[in-house]
Amino acid sequence: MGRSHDIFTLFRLARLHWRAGFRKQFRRMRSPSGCLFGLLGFLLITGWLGLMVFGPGRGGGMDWGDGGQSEEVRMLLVQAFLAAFGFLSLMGAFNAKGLYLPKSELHALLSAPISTSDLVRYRLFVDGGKTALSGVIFVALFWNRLPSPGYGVFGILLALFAITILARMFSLALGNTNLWIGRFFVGRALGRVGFSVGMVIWAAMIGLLVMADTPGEIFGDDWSMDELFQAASESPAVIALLAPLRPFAELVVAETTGQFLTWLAVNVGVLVLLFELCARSAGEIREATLTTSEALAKRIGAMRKGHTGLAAMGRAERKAGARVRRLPRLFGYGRLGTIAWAQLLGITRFSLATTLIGFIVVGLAVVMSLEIDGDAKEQVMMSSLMITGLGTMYLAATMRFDFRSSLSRMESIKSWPIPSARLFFATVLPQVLLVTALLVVGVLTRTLAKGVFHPALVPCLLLIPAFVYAWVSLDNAVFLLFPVKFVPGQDGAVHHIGRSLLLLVLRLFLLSVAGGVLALIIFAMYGVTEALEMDSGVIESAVPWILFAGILFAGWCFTLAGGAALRRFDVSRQIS
Amino acid sequence: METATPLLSVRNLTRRFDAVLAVDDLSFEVAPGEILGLVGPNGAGKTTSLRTIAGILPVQSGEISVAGRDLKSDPMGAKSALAWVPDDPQPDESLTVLEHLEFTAGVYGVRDWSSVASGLLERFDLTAKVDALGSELSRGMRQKLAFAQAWITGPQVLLMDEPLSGLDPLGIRAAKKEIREIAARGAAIVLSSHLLKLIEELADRLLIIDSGRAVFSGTLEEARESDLAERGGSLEEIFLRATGAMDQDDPAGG
Repeated sequence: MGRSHDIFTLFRLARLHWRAGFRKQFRRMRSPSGCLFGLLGFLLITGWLGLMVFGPGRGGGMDWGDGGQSEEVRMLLVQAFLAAFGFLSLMGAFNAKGLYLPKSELHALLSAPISTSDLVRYRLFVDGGKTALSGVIFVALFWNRLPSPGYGVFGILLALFAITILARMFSLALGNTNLWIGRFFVGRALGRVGFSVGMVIWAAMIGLLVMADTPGEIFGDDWSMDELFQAASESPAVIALLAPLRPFAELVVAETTGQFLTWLAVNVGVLVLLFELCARSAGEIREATLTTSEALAKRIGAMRKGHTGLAAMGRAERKAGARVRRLPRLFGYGRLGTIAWAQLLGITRFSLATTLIGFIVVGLAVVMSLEIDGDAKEQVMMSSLMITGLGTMYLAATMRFDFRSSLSRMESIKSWPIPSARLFFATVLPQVLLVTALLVVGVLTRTLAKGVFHPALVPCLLLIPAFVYAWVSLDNAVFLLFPVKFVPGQDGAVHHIGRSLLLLVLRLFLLSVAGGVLALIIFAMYGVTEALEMDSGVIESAVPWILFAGILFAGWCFTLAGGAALRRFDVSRQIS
Repeated sequence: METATPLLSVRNLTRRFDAVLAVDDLSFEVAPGEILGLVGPNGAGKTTSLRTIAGILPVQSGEISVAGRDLKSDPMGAKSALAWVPDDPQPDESLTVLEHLEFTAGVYGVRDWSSVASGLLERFDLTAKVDALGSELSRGMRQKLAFAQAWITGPQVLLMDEPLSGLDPLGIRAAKKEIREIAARGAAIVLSSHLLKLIEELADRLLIIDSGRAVFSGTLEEARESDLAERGGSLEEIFLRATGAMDQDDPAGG
């Protein structure tokens, strides 16, 4: 089989995969529910993109084509954006030394008579398709900021292709045992490097936010954004650092046909050069390719089991035989205590990074809540509401130490001799306790930071576990009714977006019903007080307790619903 | 054995998945100490039947009694007396091998599990893996762990779906010995497998199902004496005749 034959066979394989992806998407639309989910997902995506292009916030006050900025500043902004994206892509390369090949292709392609260069060309071809898809978002985001959007679109897409190839070159170098860098990194878990760099950047940003009340404290009192950009655009160091991105930036901001054609030719030339350089310089990457592909397959497998990104990464990267933390039987030795203990073991062994991110998010909610003004009671209540509301939504979505990560074990779970509602309760309990702990720390941190205390803090803190339990149990009940295995970026993304939207609406609706009933009870009590001309202070002091009891009752109802959903769960059903 | 009160009794079990009839009016009993070999072609309804008996799928129609407890009216009592070894065990990825046994003992209310666990770990060759997480176990090790988890509950009724998948020859020998021993202690066992040799070796009685219906039920001797065994009486021949595959395979052979 000749070389040219190989590569076109591989390109055909990529085309067949894309076609299969679309076919799967359309097959999901055969049922009425599939049609509804698909349509909703499509509307949500196009609506979002349309809002970016035609919405009221378009341009965002940073118009690269006007706004009185000099050409140098405009160029700097484009290059800075591309540099930031490039940096993130290079960080991503740490997670994928060598070449990534999907599980279904890994052994077949590595054992086939195909040269490494052709394998790299094939993956670059696939990467290009994915970049083009994600490029649509960038194009929509910057459409109104471009001097000539029709020309600029090409610039953005070609720049994204170039960055993708550069990131691939970097990952190949990291996995190339013919090079010192590859030999140095062989066998090292590089995902942690990228993760650590990301964490440092996050910590620095939050540190700046917390320490500085105004940007003036960072840049000086007489600072101005325009002056800052102007100074950066004139700095020789900045110019030299961003120079490799200049040809792409020139195409992004091209205004005339002449400029467009000139820079398009230059960019295409650079791309072809990079493409071939990347393919020909691959070297010996088989070992790294196997390690990377198997690790990513493991991670995708973990995500299909319901774990979110970081938890899945932790599971994939864990070394066999590594020490495990032991835990005492905190919930007792009974049947429910045993289940809660097992869930807690999962949290302590695989959730460090997820919990850390959870802390950061709660920290951000705390920072946002510092802006809340008013008397002490208002501040305590509103900040608790904000931290609990935002925190619960985010943490419950990302920390999935409940039924959402137990899909593969449902057959065993359903055979246990435990009534389903109790089993449901014991399974979600540790997750609820973890989220509650993070939120309580957040509320107390805010209170201490502002030094604003009020007795209303006590019922607020009591309401947190009740609310978190209600939300997590509702989340799980809905999940058990409509289970789904999904990995972002995999088949059925549009369908899944629609489904997620509908299920979110369903959850919010059920929670609103519970809230509405509670509000009715409280209003009725006020009505009775007024009719009987009683002191309304009694009712006011009773409101938090009514809320507490009401939310607990809602949680109990959701637990019964979850138990029923668990009983109804059909393990024979194909879930995708 | 035949006169003993059955530990497992299935009567007129029927199960549908939408328009598909997976199990059709299936009835059988398993006495204490008896091993029932459940065989049938792919899609015959074996796993669906076992899952329904294990309480994993709800009983749509029919009656199931486990150790005298009705699965519909007393599901927890029935499940407590029953252990299930699935064809592809999925252990909890976060728990070590020993913690799996502790967990199972906790869920089934088994006291003094620790000494039983050490014996099981040794018998199923899991001692070296005692601290390994579920996610680190090979296919064979997962299967051995599933055996140990089932055994630690001291089941009266044991359901096993392709229990020897993934086991090495030593593991197969140990598993067969353990199955015989637990039956000798009085457990009623339903063993579903495509390995007809295993069924011939272990099963006291045979239940062949096809398209959800029982097409033969009886001892191996009864099967050999029946008109299913014209060609010398191997279980393979009996199976092929019972399921009608022999006619398709070799029309001349009758």
